[in-house]
Amino acid sequence: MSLKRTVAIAAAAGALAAISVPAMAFENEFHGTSRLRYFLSNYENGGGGNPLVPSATTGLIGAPTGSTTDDLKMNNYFESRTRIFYTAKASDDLKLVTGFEIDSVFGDRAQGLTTSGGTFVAGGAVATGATGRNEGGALESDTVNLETKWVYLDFKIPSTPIQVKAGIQPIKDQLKGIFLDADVAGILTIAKVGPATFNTGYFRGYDQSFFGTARPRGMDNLDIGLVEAKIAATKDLNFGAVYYLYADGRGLNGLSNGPVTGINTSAMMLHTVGLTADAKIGPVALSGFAAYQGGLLRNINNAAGTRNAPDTTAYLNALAFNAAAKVAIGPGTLKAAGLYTSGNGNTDRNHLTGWVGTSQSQNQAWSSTAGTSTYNESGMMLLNRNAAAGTGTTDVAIVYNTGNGTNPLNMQGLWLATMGFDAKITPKFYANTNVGAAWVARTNGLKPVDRATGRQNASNYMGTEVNVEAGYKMYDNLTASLQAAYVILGGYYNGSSTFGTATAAKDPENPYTIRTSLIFNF
Amino acid sequence: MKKLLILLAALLIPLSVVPASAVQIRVFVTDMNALGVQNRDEMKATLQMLLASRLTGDKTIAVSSAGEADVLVSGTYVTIGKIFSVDALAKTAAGKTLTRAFVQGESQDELIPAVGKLADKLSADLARIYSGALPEAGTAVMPIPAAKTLTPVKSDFIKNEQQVNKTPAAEFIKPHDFEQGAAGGWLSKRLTGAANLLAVGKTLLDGSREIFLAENRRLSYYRQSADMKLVAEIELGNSEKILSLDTMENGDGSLDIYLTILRSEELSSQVWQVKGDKLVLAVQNLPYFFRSFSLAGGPKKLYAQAMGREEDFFSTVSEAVRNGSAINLKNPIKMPRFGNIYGFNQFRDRDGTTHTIVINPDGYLVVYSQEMKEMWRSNDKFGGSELYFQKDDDANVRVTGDKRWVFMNQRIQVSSKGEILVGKNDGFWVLGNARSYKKGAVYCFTWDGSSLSEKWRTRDTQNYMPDYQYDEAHNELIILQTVQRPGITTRGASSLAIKKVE
Repeated sequence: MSLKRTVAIAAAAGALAAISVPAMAFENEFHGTSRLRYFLSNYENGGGGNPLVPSATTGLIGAPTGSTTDDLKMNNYFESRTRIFYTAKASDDLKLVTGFEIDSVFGDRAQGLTTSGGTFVAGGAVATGATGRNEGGALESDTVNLETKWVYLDFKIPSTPIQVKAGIQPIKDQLKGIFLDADVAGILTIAKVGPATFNTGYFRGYDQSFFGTARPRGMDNLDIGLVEAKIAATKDLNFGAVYYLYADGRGLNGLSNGPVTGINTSAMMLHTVGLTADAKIGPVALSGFAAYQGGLLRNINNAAGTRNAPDTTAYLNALAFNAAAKVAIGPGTLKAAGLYTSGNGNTDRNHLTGWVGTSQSQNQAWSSTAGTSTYNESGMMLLNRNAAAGTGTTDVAIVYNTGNGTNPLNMQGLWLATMGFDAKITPKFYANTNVGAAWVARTNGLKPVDRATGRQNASNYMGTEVNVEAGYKMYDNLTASLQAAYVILGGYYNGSSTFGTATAAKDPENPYTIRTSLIFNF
Repeated sequence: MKKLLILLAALLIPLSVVPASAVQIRVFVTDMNALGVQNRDEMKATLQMLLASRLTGDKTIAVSSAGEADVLVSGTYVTIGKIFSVDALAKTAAGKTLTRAFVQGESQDELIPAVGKLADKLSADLARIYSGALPEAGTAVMPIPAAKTLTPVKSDFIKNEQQVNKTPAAEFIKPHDFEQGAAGGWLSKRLTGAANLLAVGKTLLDGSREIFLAENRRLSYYRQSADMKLVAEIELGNSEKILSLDTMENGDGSLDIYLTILRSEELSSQVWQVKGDKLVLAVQNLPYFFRSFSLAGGPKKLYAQAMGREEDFFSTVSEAVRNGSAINLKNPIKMPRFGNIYGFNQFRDRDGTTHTIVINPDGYLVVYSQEMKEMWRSNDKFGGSELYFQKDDDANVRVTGDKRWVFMNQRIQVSSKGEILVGKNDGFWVLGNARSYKKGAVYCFTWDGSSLSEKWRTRDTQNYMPDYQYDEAHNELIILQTVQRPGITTRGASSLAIKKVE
């Protein structure tokens, strides 16, 4: 066949295809957020986690990187985070949702000296010249630092009330995030029937075969299941019931409780059930939940051998409660909230009672600095992990996990009481202030040691935070704000600084942060 | 030869259609109604005869039948107390309104001279219209009082036939054709404050009209006659935002002004009333969205919808009746998909079947059957508003760091004749939640049994059009425009245009 004829046939086929494909009203929808923040802080330095975790061996609290005395040096740095969300909408009932992220810190790394942070590298070695997530703010930039956050299909099954979201998507539990608030790959169905909404979902957090187990795909997974039912009974009352399954068939390595370290488990299964309610009574908006968490950790053992033989399974029974109220007063809103999560004592028995807020656990290693549980309504900036006040790579909080521990075996539990007032001073100028105090629910090996006594402190009082945020809306989409927070550490930390001595014990320095932000949302 | 004849005929046809200005305009007085008088039939005949004889002059001549006439004139004579008014309406034989005029007097002695004055006004207007002359530069043409009539010489309304049937006279668009904006009608002066919302109140005894404008936190009360006179203003608290503004006349003749207000993410709406030259708060802390409109072209009623704990617009829209400080709801209307109190209306087809129309989140008009099945959807986008409210977005704040934006939308109004009016804004910068529209228009549709057909639309405004109202009683469109957006230290500015619907 001659080239001309081939081209003609191809052109005709193309034209036919163009004619026969029905026109679709394709919509492109863009949203985004970009924030630039300047930090002045003694503990925040761009990383995540609780900076006041005591040493497992001494129970004393050291200084963050860069400081060598009890008088901590102040970090100052600019952090930039931009997120772009693009939705390709084929119809009301079919769309592709994507989200992308670009992070950097002024002057960090760029060009050929970026790290491959976030990518599994054997031995944890830094691979120079590799693409570098959360980098590219150094001279001459030019870094491949675009991250994909979400990619999922969102569609409705024809002739049914069922909406499906399939792919990497955001999931937040209806327990205000204290169990799971993360981006995760899976399938979620949402069915709305009258005033009721039913959600069911399956998500796969990890597949261990990607870390070289020589096992088939899908055999050693972290599987997360979700069943939620919610009813909007009246305009002033919603209530619901939830169930979450956390089935980690991979097992976790390197768990600890105080001086007992190197504990492994071959599998973990958690069942979380809860009841939720959200009501408005007169001018007061109330919300809360009650939740129970039960489960087991198989084949717990440490380097010294199997613990508590012959029964090597640990059982978990934990609780969480929350209540919050909001009311409009004067020029703003008065808020009050309380959260309780049960804690775990020293694990000398096979009965765990500490609430487990989830965390990243790539390659079977539970992370204490990359959490996936949040509690935002506190309004705290340093005391607990509040994703609403953060949204940057800096992710520091004293109660970093809602279970108030660094792994499933040492969750101390939490009593957290907070109050706040969000005021509009002028239509464009706002000022918010919050105060909150935290206590651990139970003492275990994570509690710091007072150098003066050589024993753990008796007090469970972790500290009180006072913070303020003032902002000015230059435009509807652009806000400049100043945040400042200060935490007065409590008796829980008495004399626990590593820089003290038995005769002159010192407390860790009280955490503070001052953040100047420029935020563009569209 | 045949071609020459055809060409000649083609040239002659327009000459025969367009009346020469030197020729008298043939006028027929069809009917004169008389209200509030004794011997009504006798008065009607008398007025008809008086007006016909006085319309005979240099410019116009009264003829004895409608078939002979270029212009048909009808009128009404009404007396209230000692005052009388004679109002006249001139139309073409095809029914197109040409002009309106009125005269008034204080005693019967003034009636006959008044009819003469009325005839003079009509003659002058008709002569100007048929000569094609434009109004004198700088003279605003007022819909109220009607004596300053709107001229149809250069229309603000683009009718569908114009777009479909007429081919351009030339390949080049002349400035005259390209001109946009308020070529006719009435345009207010610059009004301080970038208003988001507009509502029309009562027409007062002096002929002026109550107009209410709302900015984010401010309600302004104007009286509109020859110009806009600011009568009163109230300002809300810093934590409050006005989301909708509507009026509703009570049985006792008083007017309620409904402000839907969001405070601390909860509805805390208010009702205000005009007392003399002041705005007085009647009720507050009402947990409803409010809107007053003519459902399916019926009588104007007040409607309300609640906000849920998670749903922005909860469940059904109901008729609302204020009883003191309480709002009683009745006759709930089930909403179709995408429907809420601000973006829906109903209309009836030729068979009397009711359909629901909504603007969906992407801006498309969607028509639903009684069974709430989608029947039709527009190809073009409509609606569009820069007014929004925000609510906590706890499910996504970890990623977005932002609240949820909920944008309000343009009114869908349905006239008693079944015409569907929709506002539309176009913008150069509408990206996600960053909206900045630059021009707007009002479109009028009719349902042809299977789809909405465009009947007319207004010329694009040169500014963002936050709101509009169709005043069916006066057959006028009232269009609010933002001439300057609010800045860091300024309130911005608005203007109001009133266009007679032809």
